[in-house]
Amino acid sequence: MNQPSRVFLAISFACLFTCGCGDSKKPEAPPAPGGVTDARPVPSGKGKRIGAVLPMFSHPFFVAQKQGLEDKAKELGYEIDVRDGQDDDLKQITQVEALLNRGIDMLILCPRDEDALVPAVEAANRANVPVVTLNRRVNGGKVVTYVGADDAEGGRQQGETLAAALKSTNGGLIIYLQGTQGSSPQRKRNDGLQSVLKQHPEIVIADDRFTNFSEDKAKSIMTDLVRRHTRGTIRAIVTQADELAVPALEVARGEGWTDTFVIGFNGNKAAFEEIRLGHMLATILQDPVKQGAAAVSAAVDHLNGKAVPSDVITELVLITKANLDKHAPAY
Amino acid sequence: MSSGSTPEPSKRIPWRTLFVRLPQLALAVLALVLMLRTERFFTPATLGSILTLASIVGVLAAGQTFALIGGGFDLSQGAALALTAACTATLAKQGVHPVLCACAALAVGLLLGAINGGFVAIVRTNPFVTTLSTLLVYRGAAFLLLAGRPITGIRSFEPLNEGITIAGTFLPYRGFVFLATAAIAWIILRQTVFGQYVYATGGNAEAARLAGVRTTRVKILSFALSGLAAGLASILLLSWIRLAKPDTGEGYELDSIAACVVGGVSLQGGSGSVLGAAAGCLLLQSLATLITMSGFPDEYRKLVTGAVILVFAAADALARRSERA
Repeated sequence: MNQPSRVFLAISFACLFTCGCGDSKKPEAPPAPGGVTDARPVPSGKGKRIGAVLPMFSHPFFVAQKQGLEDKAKELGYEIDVRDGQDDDLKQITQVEALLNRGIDMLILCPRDEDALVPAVEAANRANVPVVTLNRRVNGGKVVTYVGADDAEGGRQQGETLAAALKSTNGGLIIYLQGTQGSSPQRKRNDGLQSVLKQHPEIVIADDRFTNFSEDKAKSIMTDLVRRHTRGTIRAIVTQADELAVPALEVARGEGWTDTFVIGFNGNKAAFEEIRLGHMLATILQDPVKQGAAAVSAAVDHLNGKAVPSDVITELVLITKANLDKHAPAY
Repeated sequence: MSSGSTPEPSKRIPWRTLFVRLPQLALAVLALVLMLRTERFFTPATLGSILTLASIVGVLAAGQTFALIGGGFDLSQGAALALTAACTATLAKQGVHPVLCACAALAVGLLLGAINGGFVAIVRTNPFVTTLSTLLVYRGAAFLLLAGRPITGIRSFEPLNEGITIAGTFLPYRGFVFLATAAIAWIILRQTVFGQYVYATGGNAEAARLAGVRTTRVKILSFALSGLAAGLASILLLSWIRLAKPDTGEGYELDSIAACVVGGVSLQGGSGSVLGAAAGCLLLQSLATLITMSGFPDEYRKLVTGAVILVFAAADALARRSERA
């Protein structure tokens, strides 16, 4: 009974593969506009294509980063194709391979995972396409340069802000809401924070939870935690993202925890607003638009034969009520 | 009711069937036109990479076919993949021989599948509920085993990631493993007595039991084979990305079910073919690659993929309805 559907599939795939073979015999047959790899076009930006793959489009940070990449490429006159890693290591590799097959002159990769995306970099190396890693590093393959912030430094800035804020009460208990367990920003930001906390034994983490960087998870965990700890015992809530800080803050304030310090990361609009209102102590601003632009600049420099430093570190800014008006939110 | 083993009533040209299958046909033609218009899509390199990229979900889909045809449903495949990968990676890191690691992966997969089968066939819990629960159990166990940290740098299965170069096109062995799995699964389902029992059990378990089929055993085995596929998929995965993470393969069970649906495997049990599932998997991967290579915006990816699956499912349902009338 499924014969017909199978027949259709079989036919379509037979066509698919035979056509593929047909093409392979005479590769010069279709005069494809501007896509054939040999006979590289004039060294101006025109005709050169940059491929970029971000970890996901479902997070505003990466949506802003995509904007940064596209705007800068347009400004410099390069074609750019930004793709969605769909929050999955394997799917992100798939996207890289598809772009390589399509034919790109440069790859900008923001890996979802530093280890899992090594095969993607190796595939680009095999295809002789230079790679720029953005925002997160990759632990293998050949990479031209890394463009991004130092997450560990951000964690240290959080720790120092926390230590300063808790000086008057001589430390105390804190809640730590981390991102996705095992992900690179989670590990790096945690390393940075822990390195500061080691010097401050008076600050004790009472609860340390993973939230997958998602608002709903943060809110539900925080709802449980306000039941677990009585009002006034928790001195501060440190989070690895503003997406966790703002929901946690809402729950805490709803329980009357008004003197609990809240520290976030990323610097989004909601966090800026909470800092302005004095509900939140600080956040660490990293600008995805600027990062994206810097990655495109580095890629273009490399394509034009200019030397590019092996690390392009974009700055992280500690945002408090004092310097809030001097900066714009990241997204 | 709908049994794949009954002979077709007539050999006339099935115009009516063709008409009913029009949406699928139109979609296949449309996809073909888009592929032809996409620069550099029909190159051996691109097609080879589609085959390789489809291999992991393809192996899962081959296993899923057994569960579905046997009247079951396996939602735990992605989690079973993560758990077997975690176990295998732990062994590999301790210097266990790669062949033993591979055997362990297959054994763990088989066991995890058999647990599903045992609950469904003996305890008689609903397959959906059973595998939804074991999805959480297996995923949770993988988290605990790895303590949230990835195990990286696993080189045990690297030979599988190598391949052969045919006419300048590099084809990793993983693609061949997928094709071989599909072929073996097809032989088991179509050419063995056990295969006939799986169809019979999925089509009408009570009738099969009365006819002397040991349906409990068949059910357990069909789920166990789905787990075995997850074990094999975990080997392919480790050979490729060389690390095990707690969130590896999240949602792959849905990809494998989607491949089966597109390939015409019935969710009611008792009908379908593993070759259909393999073709469905290749079609969905082609679609994914096509979306990227044609420059079609990624924001539409989910919507388009879902719509394609729905069209195939709807066409299949309509065809069945008209055949029954």
